[in-house]
Amino acid sequence: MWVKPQEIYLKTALWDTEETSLYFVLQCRKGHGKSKGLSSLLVGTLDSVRDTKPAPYRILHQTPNSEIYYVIATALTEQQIRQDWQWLIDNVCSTLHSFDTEEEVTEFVCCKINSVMATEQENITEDEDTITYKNVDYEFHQRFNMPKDEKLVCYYSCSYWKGKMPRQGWMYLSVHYMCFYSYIIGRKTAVKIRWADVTELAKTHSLIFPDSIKVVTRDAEHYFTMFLKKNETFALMQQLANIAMKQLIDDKSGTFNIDKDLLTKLSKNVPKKASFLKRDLDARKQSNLYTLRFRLPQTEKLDGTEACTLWTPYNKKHNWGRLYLSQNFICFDSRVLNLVRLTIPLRNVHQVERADSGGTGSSGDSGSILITTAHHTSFLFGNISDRDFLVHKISELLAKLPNDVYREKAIRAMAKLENDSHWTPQPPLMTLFKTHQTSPIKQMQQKKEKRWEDHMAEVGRGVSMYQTTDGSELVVSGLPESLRGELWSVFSGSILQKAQNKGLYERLVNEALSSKNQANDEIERDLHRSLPEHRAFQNDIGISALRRVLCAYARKNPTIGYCQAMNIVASVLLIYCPEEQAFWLLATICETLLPDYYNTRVVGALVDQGVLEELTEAHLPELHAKLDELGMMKMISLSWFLTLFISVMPYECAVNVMDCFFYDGAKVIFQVTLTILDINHEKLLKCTEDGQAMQVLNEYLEGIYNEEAMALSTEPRTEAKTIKIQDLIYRTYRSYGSTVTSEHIEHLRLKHRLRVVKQLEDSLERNTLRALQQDKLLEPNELHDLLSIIREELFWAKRVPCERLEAPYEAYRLDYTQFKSLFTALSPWAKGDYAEAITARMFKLMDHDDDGFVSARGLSVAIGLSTRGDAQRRLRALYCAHAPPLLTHQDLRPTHFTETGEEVADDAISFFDDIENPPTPEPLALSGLQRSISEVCGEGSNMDKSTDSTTSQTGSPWEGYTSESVRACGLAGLAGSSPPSPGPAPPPPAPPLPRAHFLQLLAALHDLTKHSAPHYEAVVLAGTLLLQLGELNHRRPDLEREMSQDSLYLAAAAKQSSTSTMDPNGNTPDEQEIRRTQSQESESVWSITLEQFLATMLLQPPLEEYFNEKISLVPQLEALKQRDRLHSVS
Amino acid sequence: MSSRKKLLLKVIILGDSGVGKTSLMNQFVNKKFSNQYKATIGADFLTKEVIVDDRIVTMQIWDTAGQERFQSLGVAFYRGADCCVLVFDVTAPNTFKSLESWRDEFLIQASPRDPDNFPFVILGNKVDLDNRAVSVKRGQQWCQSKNDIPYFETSAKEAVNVELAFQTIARNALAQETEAELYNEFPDQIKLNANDNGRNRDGDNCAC
Repeated sequence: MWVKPQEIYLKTALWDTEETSLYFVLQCRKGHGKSKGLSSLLVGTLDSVRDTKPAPYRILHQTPNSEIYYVIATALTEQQIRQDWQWLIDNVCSTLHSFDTEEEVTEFVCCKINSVMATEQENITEDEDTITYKNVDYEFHQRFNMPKDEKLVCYYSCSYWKGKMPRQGWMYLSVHYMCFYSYIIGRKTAVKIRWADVTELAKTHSLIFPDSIKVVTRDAEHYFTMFLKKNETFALMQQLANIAMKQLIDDKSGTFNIDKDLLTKLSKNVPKKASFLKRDLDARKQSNLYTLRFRLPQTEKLDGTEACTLWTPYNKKHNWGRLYLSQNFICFDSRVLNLVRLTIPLRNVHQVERADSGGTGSSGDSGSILITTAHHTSFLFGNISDRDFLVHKISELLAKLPNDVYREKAIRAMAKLENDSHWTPQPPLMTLFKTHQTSPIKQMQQKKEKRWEDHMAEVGRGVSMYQTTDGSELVVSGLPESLRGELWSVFSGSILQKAQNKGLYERLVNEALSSKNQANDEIERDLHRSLPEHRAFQNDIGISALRRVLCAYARKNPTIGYCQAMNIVASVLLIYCPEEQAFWLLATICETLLPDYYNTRVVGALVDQGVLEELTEAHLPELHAKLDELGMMKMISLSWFLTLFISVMPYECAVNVMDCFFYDGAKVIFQVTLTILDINHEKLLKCTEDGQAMQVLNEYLEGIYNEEAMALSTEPRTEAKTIKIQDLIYRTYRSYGSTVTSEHIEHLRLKHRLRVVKQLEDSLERNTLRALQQDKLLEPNELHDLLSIIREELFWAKRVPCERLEAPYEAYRLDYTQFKSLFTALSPWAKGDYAEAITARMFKLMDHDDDGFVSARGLSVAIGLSTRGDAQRRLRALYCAHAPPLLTHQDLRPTHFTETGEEVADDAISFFDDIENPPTPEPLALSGLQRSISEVCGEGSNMDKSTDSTTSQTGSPWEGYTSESVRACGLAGLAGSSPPSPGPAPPPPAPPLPRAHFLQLLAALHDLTKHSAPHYEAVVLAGTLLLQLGELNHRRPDLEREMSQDSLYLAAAAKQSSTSTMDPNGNTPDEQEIRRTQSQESESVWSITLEQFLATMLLQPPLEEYFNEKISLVPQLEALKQRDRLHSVS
Repeated sequence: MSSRKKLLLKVIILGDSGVGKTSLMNQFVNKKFSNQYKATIGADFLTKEVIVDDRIVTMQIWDTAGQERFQSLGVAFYRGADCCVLVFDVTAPNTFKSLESWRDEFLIQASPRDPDNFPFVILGNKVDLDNRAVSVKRGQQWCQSKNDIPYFETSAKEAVNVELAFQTIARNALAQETEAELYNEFPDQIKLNANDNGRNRDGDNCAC
């Protein structure tokens, strides 16, 4: 047992030294163990006289040049102390050599021992979230500046290699981060790595970093050593990293929930650990393994397991194994691999009874239970140590089963109500479109059927058949055609899905067929390109069934939608299975057997290409090198995997592979692929380029034949026969059956998923950057930083880049809050009192489809325009952001914004009025307007008047302007915004601004320039001129054309007078006049056009200069980056 | 390099799903049309020997999957291409609009030495159908705007212009190949370059 290091000065008195090393001494107290003699007797006496009996064994730490020793461990038995000693030798000693001074060594050792002790104490306490854990959790959030909702999963003592020096400290594993913190001799080391950034996790062992865990990110490699429980730590790290990856792949699991259910379920079996979350993760892992093993629905959660025997009637034996219990199933797997496996859905359980002394007299009697299912089949489990508990537990679970008799009735009733659908599900298409069979083949099939009938007479039929070694052998030789549908469904577990989701298929079909979407279009295009050689699909019956299955699945799982290759697989399923069963088989393939294969980025298939590559390297190294050289390792088998060989082998052979695939899982495709590569080894090594190698493999695959089934294509085969499919499968099982296991594949998939997702992320980022650069506003490095900040922002919002995009940048979508936080931090336009209003308007300008989201490009353009656009573009963007219909009268109402936004808007208006009418005690214009508004609509904004009048008038200058055209104008000059034509196209026209809108715009401009006198004055001057212009327009609405000329004239005049006629308050002599005219009510329309606005503004040199100024974003971006990250601080 | 050497021309066919890439390839190579093709998954290829300017060359024609989610997976095949054929369906305007992005994607991924002059050929397929939606003029205009890419209106079903189009493809590919040879006058250099390319390709593979 480790003890808090304690200084002592005398090392030999009363103690015998048993072992020494450079820094450690193992001692035994005299009078104990082997030491004999007078002194030992004496010590023994002393010990018994004194009350404090010291432990008889201890380990001391010393440094060669120091007089001080530290007790670091004590123990009651020699065995215990030897264990501790060994741990020191294995883990600590080698590290100590790397320290320069002895002080450092001592510091390190003490620190290490303290932390080890803390961990051990942790294990002793049994409370759910212990006080220690809470403290650590608090520290963790403090030290790493974590948001409150970041959950700490577990923490471990370990060392981090900073350069050549190990730093003893703590590793914290949380849901999204792994962190390390140490503080030794005044030196702080902190590491913070996001799981989503991890590209590789590995256990390594090298001279420099002995027995360590390596963590690689895009930027760096980190090494951690000296774990107490390296395997546990590593497993947890791997699991967390994979959860992060899964989140990146699939936004359904985007938020991480502590599954309380799981927690309570497993509380009995899981050793007490630091936090809830860790336990939850353990439970999740166990449940995953469980569902994988028995092909259960993934939602199934393991409740507990129990060692027992299963009586198998067909050979009259008790077989030892383990019973698994979860909310819907009882399962059993034999201890001897593949001997017998059993799944009993609880819904089928009729009766559970204690079976005492049944008379067989064998050992199975003690603690037996008998489970009878609705089909009068009985299953006898024996040798259960805690039978009563198990029976109790099963009845509890049975009671919790949803009473679906009523539900089914309800569903059926509903289905009847809805059932005006014009379709009926088809039986297996093979029964409708019989292929002609020659008599030898017919006989062969009958023989197969007979063997299966016999087999099933022994082991039962349906879900709860005993799956035995005999069964496996029958599968390997190929299933009889007539039983394929049934057996595939049983083997794959899809039959369970179907049973649990009664009525769902019908509903999905009805919903899917009545909707129109991209997936349906894509499906339509491929219906006749699925299995065209089969008669069933040369006919509308088959085509319609295929359409229904694919559309219903796209509806069920929108993250996949429709992926080519699913059509090919589904059409084969339809040949052998009734329609609904085919649907559930397809679902099982997509979700369980080949996870993520068909999603929008085909992630799963890419992951498995990586797995295959690694397997090839391990099993066929020479060939791997060759294929790698040809550059085809990654692409060689994409279609093999995605279509389960259907598109590359003759159909009647591929279905035999599918037999094994459904029976044994995804490992089969890997095994078959390896076998095929192995067989063609020699030929492939001779190839000089990729096409040649492809040809070798294609010829081989097309030449595979099956003498036990009819070929589908009636055309004579052109390819030379290569191998009988049965031989290929036998060979596969012989060569790789035991070396390529499901567990191994799962493990490799975890590993490669990190890499693939990272690559996809990177390429998405690259494409986005490329697209953003075409706008030519921000510099590439700024865009790069901006994008990583956007990603960070989205990361914390727990949103992942979404799928189905028109352009890469659409993947990153920001809502208003996120847009605001970044725009405010980066754009100079969002600095003043008016920030909120401008931000909101820019957001609207960028939100092309009015869906409340702006893409990464929208943000980059908004920021880019405000910092890099030339004056004309910047002003045009500002103008358009304030123009109707983008800025509606609702927007003009101050209440449109949040609490603070409201204030800002109010301020801005009064602010503007102050400028306009500083000396006037009662702002005439405003009160006049207010009066008129309250007359018109009773309440609402004081700014409504002009827009109301404009929109209500037919033939007003605002007619014909849509949000779209205004946006196009505001953003003119961007890549892709104008049709591809030579030379810059003139921007589309912008609507004139009504007075209220213009006032808002002017207020915004005032706010932007208020810190610089010359700019501010220029705005005031230009604003005054524009107001005058607006008045002119107002009086002579019919003379709009001329007025734009007037505007230039006026502007020019203003320029002349700008210095002479302005008083210090920014008032011009014309103010009185303006106010007077404003207070007059008139029927005609007050307006300012874009041309007038631009001309007037740009004629003010300070303004032109101000809006042309190029502002660097680098400091702001740096600040933002610092906000989120502290990658490696020391 | 001697021109005696048997030449291998690598041609990549790209375009949206269902525009008729597989049919065009089969019409050219096997002189037959079938409506019994499966959708192409991953990639497939056929070879054919043709005579171009009295030289026998082998065309290796790579047919690719058109669905968007497979787009990034095809890049492994792009390398070393001598010509890229972009196909659209004259009855489906969307497939015409995609040409631009197919072209860009190809240039980015294959990164040919001289992207501006890399030989492309555009095929507007399915002209046998009545419901035409992309006019000849529109097709030609686009091709002209892109450095005068040769444009053919084809029907894989009725073998309209297929032979002619592939002759052009072969000739342009050959010109590209010959130019490549000029760059590599010394055999040693070729080897070096080949290796370099290989490394670059590996880098590109990561993009998928």
